[in-house]
Amino acid sequence: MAFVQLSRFLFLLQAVVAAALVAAGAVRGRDPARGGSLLLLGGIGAIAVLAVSGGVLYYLGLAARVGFTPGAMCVFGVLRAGPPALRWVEAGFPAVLVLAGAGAATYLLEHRAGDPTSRTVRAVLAVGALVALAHAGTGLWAWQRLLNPPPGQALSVSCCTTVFDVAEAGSAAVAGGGFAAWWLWGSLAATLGCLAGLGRGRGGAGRGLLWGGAVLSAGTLAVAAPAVVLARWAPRMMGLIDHHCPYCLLQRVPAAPPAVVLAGLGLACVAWGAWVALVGSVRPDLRAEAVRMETGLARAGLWLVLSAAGLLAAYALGRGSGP
Amino acid sequence: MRGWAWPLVFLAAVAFGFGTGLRDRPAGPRCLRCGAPSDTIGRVRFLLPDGTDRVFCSIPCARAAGIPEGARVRVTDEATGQEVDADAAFFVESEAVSVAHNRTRIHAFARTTDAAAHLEEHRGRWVPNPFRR
Repeated sequence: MAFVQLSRFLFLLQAVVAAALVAAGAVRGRDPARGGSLLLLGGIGAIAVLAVSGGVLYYLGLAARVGFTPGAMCVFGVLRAGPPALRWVEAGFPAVLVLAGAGAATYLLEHRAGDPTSRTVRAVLAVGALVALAHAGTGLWAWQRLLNPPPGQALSVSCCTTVFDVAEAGSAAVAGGGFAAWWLWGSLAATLGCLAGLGRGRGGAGRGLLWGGAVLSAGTLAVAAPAVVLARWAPRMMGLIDHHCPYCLLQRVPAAPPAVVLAGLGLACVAWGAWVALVGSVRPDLRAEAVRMETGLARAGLWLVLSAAGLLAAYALGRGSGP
Repeated sequence: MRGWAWPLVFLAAVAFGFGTGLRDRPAGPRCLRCGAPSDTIGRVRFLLPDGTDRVFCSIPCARAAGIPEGARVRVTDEATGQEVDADAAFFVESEAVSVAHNRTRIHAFARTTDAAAHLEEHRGRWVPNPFRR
């Protein structure tokens, strides 16, 4: 229960910081010369730290509720039995982190170029702060509904195995396994190729096309990679022939959490780099600084995605092929 | 980050993956269904037409996995530890647990006298072949 209470506390903190960003004028604009600038960057950093630590505590809290949820065998069972808002909160963590990163990147871009905080930064931060506020509110509400279901609306009985064990019900991940494998390798090659081209730092009209390609291939990679890992690799990594549950994979395979973090950060770098490139193309005065920043983000994305793939491949190699 | 830092991150990730993979390498045969050790007295083996086999820790795990088309099912005789065809075995359900981690109470025997003795001793009852198709 301690994890649950800590998770609720972090949601509360996130709500307070996000509300402060919206209300205290940081979003509406403040003269950087009067000290509002550093406060703004601190607010963005606080939101990012809260999203990461809050995400970890959220899953630890859900894991602590497994024993109290009828029929649940892992975090997935709790998510199935609890209110749908629990799933929205899950999706909210990466969204808040990407928006906070986009806000920070735009802020740094302008300040490195010697400009005061512009309307673009404030607009990005306004969206980010509002999303963070809504996310924190949803998190608090979801915990409340899970811990205290309204009278007459007890938790539904969960059953993990009927969803993830092929012998019982099959799964979309397995059904699409063969096609998804080709999709994964194609997307990975295209993403790495585009990022390698962008990481060389040369300017020109081709950069826009390369960023478009990187975003597209990274998007398809984000869809294909979980499908293939769950359909083909997870059962072998866990030693369970029919089990395709992502939460069990994260709990049982020590290589899975760092691989998810590395891949997630790598894909976020693609999103941030593309955003910076867009800002640079709209604001010619920032273009030189934008090229420098997006080159760094492309390199970071390239190495992070490569590290995630290398980590999983090395784990499979070390563990041996059969379960 | 400096130029040499990213390759270091990559190498650290690969080293971590390989190290944890080596640590998780199964020491002995594992049940294909639940991942528990499959060198138990309740072991079940599916012999597939292509010459390969699938090993499970217990009768419930093997049943839940489903019998592949054309496979021969071999169960373990609890009296001797030898494998025997499921079609030729005798099955008893009793109060005794044969595989602890999933509390299996179905027992296979090659000889009817062993099965009858177990049934008598552990207040069991005869059950049909769980793998009958």
